[in-house]
Amino acid sequence: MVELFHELRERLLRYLLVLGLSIHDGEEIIQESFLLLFQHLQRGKPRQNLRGWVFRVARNLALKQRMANQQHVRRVVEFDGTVPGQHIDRNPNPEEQLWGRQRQKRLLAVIYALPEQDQSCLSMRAEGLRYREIAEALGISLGSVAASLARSLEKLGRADGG
Amino acid sequence: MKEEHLHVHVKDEELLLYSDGEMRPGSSGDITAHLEFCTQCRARLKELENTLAEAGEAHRAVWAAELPTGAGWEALLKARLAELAAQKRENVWMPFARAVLAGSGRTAVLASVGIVLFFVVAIRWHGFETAGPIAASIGRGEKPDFRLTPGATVPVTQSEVCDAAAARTAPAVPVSLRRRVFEEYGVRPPQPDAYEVDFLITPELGGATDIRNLWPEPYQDTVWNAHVKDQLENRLHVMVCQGDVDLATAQRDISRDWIAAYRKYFHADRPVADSSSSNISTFRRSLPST
Repeated sequence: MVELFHELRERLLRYLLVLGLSIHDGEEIIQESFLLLFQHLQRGKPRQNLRGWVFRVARNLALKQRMANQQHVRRVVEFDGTVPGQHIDRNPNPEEQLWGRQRQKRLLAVIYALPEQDQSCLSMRAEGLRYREIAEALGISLGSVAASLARSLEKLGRADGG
Repeated sequence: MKEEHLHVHVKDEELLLYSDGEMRPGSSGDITAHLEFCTQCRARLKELENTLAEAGEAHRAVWAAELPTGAGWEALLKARLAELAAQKRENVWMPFARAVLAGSGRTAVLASVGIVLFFVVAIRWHGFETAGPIAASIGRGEKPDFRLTPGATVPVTQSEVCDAAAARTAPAVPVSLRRRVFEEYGVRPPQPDAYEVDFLITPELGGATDIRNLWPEPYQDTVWNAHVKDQLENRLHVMVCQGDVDLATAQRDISRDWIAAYRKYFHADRPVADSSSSNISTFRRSLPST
């Protein structure tokens, strides 16, 4: 259990940040997801695709939290070179170097403008989840995951050329 | 016929599924054969994989500088899991109780009413805490994470620590440093009402205003909270100044495990009543300068 936490914490946290949560809310949701996983396993429930399971639970909790939290950070629709709200007071130096890379900037602009489900598919893929794990996490079919990624890659490809 | 088939290129979705090992050789959707001779599809597959990799890199890089260390959260999860496991052991008797109650119809009905009433009262007493998220109902943060907060001191002697004229009161922790402490422990946004950004080794015992010596300590949530630690700090200060404990020992004990230190110096398993703390404070204030 703790090993899985070790493996997934950062990945989950980055995904929850993409969903617009604060780091603190994200960390709490990860804790809660793992406590629920503990109960899930104690009840003798299936052990297949646990990574997908944890992402699904964390995502559901995150969406609930986001609805409950009226001041949640709005997703950036028009990317202007900054990331969502809570990062305004960060130390700019490493980031400045990062944003200097025009190509990454363009890709991020597209990623942040994607519809929620496409963005989730892409973020989860970026976090190393397999397609069937993403399908489990989002409650959609394997084909839908592939179609979503194909759509996003098409847009990313276009941004790259432009 | 075969020629015709060759000109129908593989769709991006299928290429992606293939690259994720979902279209195994021999399966109905196998496109291995097609890829073998279609350079265009192979190039497309490569392109898709590259774009995915780059998007992944960009995604991870955005938050690279933001993510706090997970050590504190891992320790917290372990504690919560242990607590959950303990709760489960305590609840083992419940199925037996139900089986006994099910023995007689009338008794069962009465018992059910009793159980419902019990839960209604219990939930009221707990201010609906039990209905909240699991994570919120389990205590946390009593002890600092050793890796984040090992303790740090300034060079100071016993007589300097005990010199009433130059009483070392806790310096104000700068707001920026406070914020860093909250961030380090993943408390976002900072919650100054719920936590005291406390010195692990109090300045009264030579503790430094340094991030390695500061952590967010809950005021009320736990048995071992900030007020209890204040009691220990006061007692240790008195003992150091009376020569009962040397300064280095006091610093070491409080930084290693302040709860164990409390038990040691108070000879008590649980926090003693608050009055003793105020007595000690009064006592300390009245100490003659040495």
